[in-house]
Amino acid sequence: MIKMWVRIAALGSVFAAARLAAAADLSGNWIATVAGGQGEPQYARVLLTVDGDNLGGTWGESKVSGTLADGKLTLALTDTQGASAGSLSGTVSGDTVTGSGSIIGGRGGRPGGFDGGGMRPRGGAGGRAGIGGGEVVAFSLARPARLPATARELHFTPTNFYGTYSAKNKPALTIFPGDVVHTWTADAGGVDANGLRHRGGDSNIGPFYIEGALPGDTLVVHLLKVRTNRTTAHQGTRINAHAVTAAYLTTAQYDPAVTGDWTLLPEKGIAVPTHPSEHMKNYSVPIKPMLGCISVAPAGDEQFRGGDLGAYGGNMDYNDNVEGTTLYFPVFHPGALLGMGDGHAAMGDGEVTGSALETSMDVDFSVELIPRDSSGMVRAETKDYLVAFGVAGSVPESIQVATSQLATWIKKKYQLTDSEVAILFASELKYDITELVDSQYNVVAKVPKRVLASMK
Amino acid sequence: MRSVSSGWLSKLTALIAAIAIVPASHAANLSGEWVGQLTGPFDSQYTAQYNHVTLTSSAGKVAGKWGTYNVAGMLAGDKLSISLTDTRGILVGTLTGSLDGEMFEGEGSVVPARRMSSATSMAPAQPPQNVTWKLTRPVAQPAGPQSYVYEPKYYYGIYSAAEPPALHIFPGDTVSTRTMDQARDAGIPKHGNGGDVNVGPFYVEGALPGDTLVVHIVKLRTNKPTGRQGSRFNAHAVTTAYALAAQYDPNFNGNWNQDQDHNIASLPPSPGLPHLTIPMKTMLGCISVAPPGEEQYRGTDLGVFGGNLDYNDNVEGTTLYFPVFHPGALLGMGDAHGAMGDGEVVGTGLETSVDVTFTVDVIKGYATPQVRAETKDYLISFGVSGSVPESIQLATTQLADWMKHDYKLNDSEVALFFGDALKYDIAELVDPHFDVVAKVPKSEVALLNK
Repeated sequence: MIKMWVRIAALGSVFAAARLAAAADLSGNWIATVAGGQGEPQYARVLLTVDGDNLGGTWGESKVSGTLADGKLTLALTDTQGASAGSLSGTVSGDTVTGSGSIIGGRGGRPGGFDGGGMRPRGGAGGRAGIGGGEVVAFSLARPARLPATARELHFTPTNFYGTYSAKNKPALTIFPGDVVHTWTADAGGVDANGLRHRGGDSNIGPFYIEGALPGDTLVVHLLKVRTNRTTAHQGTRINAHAVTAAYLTTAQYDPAVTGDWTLLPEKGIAVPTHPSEHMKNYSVPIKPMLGCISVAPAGDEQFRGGDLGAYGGNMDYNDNVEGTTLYFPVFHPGALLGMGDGHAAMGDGEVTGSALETSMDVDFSVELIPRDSSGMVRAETKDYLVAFGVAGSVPESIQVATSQLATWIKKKYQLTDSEVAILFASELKYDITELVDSQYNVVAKVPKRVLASMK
Repeated sequence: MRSVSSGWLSKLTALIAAIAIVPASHAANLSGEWVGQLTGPFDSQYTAQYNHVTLTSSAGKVAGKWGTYNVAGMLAGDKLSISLTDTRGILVGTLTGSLDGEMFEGEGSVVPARRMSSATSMAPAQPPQNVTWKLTRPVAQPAGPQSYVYEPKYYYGIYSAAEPPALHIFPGDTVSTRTMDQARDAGIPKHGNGGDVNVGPFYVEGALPGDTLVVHIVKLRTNKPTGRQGSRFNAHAVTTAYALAAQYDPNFNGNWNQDQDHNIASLPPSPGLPHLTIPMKTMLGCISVAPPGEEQYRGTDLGVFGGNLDYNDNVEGTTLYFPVFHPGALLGMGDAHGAMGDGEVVGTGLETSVDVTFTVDVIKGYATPQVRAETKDYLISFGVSGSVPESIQLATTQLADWMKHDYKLNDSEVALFFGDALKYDIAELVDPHFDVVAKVPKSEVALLNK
């Protein structure tokens, strides 16, 4: 990480040294990248004001003051309690500042918003200073990318399908908050609408790099369109061991003649078994197209297979991640690195056959950012509910994480006390068991928007 | 035959009995419905085996069914001797006895039948057991269904077959009663101190172990204007970190105002919730039959017998199906809530009392391991166990077995069906056992070919 930063810094100085010498205007917004001796770089939004040779402004949640003389800059950081939070000195070269110094309390505080929830993203430099001396850091300041004048409509044809959630995936497209992307996904096995096979294993399209997204932010994804784009789907025909008792599992006699092939009839809004057995010759299921996988890059150097799920989302398999739903992701890396895939034409709770009606999808989405506000896990808003996901290694823990995250969110959003949120949930909380058969479990806690709208 | 004190009195009694029987013995019609009871050497009245028995006799030859066993034998005078064979034709018992007034009784040896007729157990058959046996006529049902208004004279707080019946009813009968209101009912005796209290038990004539008791909730309305509720999260609903950091107001007012006419409940205003009004959805937290054998549980507990299931769709219009473990089933109910979210996460719903009207029916010879239900939109299976993951497995498995039994689906068809249509509800997180519901929409069930 250090090496990478040094390279960036070197590049910056080569480009702009000449142009700049006298009176670079440092005022305005910057993105700070802070790298310590170990661990991941941290990021902060910086606002500088210039008054003669004096600098003021903010660095994350800290206040900043300093001087600028002969292209050299010094900055002192003060935390929200007025205590020193570090000192930095650097050199201006064009639209970049590079330097070093020390920052107290590690490289930055943690974003608020999940009190007592137990899990927090690690981003957000320049927040609350902790106890202890400063850490020696190198830093750089760069100008944020400029937002286009108007939101864009982008048509994206996926060419790369990635099967591992990781910040190392190269962005396939850079987009800005407000942009609308029209694209499509292959099914979990990698087969697209035309029957062409790409990478399988719950692969995702993207990742989409969202300009302006920093660790500690929330990425908002509006699913504007999620529609099946072919007439076939395939589903498993055996119940997973987490859904039935061992006795059932050992005595079950599965019929190889039941194929799990479905024919999608979107004009009728239903799917029917392609080779129905006698008992299911009149059977059909309503189509409710959903995205099984939707994700940002997981924290730090973590890497997970496409079938996995976690605080970054991934294979959450929630059957209300449908057209019209909005998802909220904690951001762990600059640009968030949004990806999606694994469409299902319909799915029961828990994905008890290990797969749903697996198929490819046409997807339109738009993105927004909520800066400096993040929760421990993914959240969502459907037509009727505010939703918190709880991904964990067991269903009981998933229940606890989902309820806690929802309670923390609702307390903050609606200014409720612990007693108030408890009695609200006592009557209005609903759970959905979304995922029983993948590497982690997923339970949803949700409250109806109807009661939230009328209670204040 | 009951032994009477020795001496001339017993001889006289026997003589009178003999005189009485002689003209009756040919007319004593063995044909028809009986209740069979098999009592082993270690059985109490609560652990004895009971079965529906149907017999026909013609010219001294007896045939019929004893539970799932086939009956063949002889009736000579008042002496009955029969043999029992299982469905594969294997001899599983012999019984001999004689007529005693209105019933037959005697001794013999029987391989006990498995309790759950639907279970496909691989366990080896039990050895034959010496038993005493009885055949009694079922209580005759009065013509036409009856309606009762039952004003509770006591409540009971322990689920147990030892709780004496409060009222005997028949399949088809309707009962209107009410559940407990702590204020109004302070003077009414309570049997056992188990937390949640139940009204009943109602003895349903004709219900025997291995049957299913059907309870249809016709009407369910709160009968008081307030519902009290807790305001702290239970430890099973939130993380340890959340529970430790939470700052609860010990004076928080959780007494909801219930307006059953408009079907809404409102919380006394608090600073953050000045206008919290919720729709009422009045439900029965507890509904139960007596648990198997001599088992006893506190009122707060739940199990295969139902009990404190705390399912927020156990409402007016819902039909419940209970496995029957004792003659009469011994139905009870209580712990009404004006409304409740999933999991009862604060340990209570809007605790209230209700007026309740229900009807009962019996499905003979079929039972599932746990309680099932049918709501307006769903077929429902409960899974009660010691953990949520196990509850999920039990609920799904029972629903699958039900679908296989009623709709003749094979395992692959059930899997396909559940993979796209199954829903779960987390009903109970905070009581001595956990309760998860697995359900399928009736709109989808209707598309299956039986």
